Amino acid sequence: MTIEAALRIGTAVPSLVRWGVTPDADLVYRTLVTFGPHTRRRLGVELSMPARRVDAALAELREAGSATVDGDVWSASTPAAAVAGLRRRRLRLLDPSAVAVSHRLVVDGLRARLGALALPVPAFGGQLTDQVRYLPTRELTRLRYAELLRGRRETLTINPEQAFDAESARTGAAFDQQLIAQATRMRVLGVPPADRDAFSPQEAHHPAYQVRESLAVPLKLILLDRSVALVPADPERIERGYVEVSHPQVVRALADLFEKHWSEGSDPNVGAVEPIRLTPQEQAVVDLLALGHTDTTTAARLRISARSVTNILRRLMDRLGVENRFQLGLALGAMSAATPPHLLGAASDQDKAS
Amino acid sequence: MWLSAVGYIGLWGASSMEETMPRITLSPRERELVALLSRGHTDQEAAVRLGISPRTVTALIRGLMDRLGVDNRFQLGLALGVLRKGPADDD
Repeated sequence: MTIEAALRIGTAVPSLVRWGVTPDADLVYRTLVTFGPHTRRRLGVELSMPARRVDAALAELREAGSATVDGDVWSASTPAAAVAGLRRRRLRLLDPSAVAVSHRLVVDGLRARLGALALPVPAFGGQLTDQVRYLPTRELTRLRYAELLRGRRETLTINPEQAFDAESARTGAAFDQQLIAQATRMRVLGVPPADRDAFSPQEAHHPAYQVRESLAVPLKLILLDRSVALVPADPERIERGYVEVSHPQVVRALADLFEKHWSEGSDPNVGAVEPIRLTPQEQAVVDLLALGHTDTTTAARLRISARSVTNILRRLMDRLGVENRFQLGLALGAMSAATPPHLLGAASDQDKAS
Repeated sequence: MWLSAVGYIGLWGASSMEETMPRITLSPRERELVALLSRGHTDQEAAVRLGISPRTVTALIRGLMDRLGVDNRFQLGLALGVLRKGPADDD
């Protein structure tokens, strides 16, 4: 009932997609929040969604604690509770042992399925078979990777890490720039960041990447042109290096695994705040306002009418989904799109009043 | 660990701006107020929610603007945004 009360005064329902929920589950959740408890049958009819998809969506919501079932009637938890639950669920991923377990399942599964072919447990460095090579340190992996990536047309990457250490980020950046320079297409499936900032500029990524996010990534994986795969030798100890596999069946199985998870991943730019770029005119207006100009003096400077200034800002506010100047400032500030210049270097008066 | 991912964790578009900005600490009440305003509430609504008078709201905002050396709401938002003092996106 509190939900209905909240709706009556117009509280927005946050998009659960941003928290790693599938669009189907998000739609079902919205329906339950907005129109109250439903049976799965009625959900299917009203949303014209096949029963299988309704069931999957409901199972997902239940698992995430976003919906409960009583008999055959489903109801939604409050948006606040749902988001809190999803956030907690995401934090569980910080536990790297979950990925380690899943990594072993994948590798064991490959061994079992492809029984006869040797997928040796790496013990020492070097060429283990003609299709498996063990790169026993990070340094050797880096050197080998530099060799491998030359002339590649496609990379498929799964990243279970929520953050990268500085050294990794530096080396990775150099490799990535090389890949971009040679026009390699890159698809990266990663874990959503633990603390996504709605307007963070960090979410803008280079157009050479296609990025998707999933809460359940199976293992660390790099595939080059679907002919070479790199996986950590030991998912819990990255310093033990990587195993390079070029066995066609293994690589194909890993590529299938990637595609399966990719198709289930969500696009962080859908449902999240879209990357936004200011037009030169918007930038000019914003810069002047940031300097402390009023609408009138801004208009005078730019030789446009005050009404144009208002309209430019109105459009920008619509694009950012904000309603007032304070929110607009907050959003642009977080995007580092503009800075009140006198704040730069004003570090001396910090914490004056706290 | 390091491959084809840094682009999206922030090499492009990240700036060192926040490092050069002054740091301020918000009091719990200021933080609540900023959170409400950043969700689009008016001063009036924020006052009701916080159980304080609209005058106190104005005073709190004035205090923040003075500490940050800004003159209007847009600049205040901008400064807080750059300093990442905005609220988390869902709470």
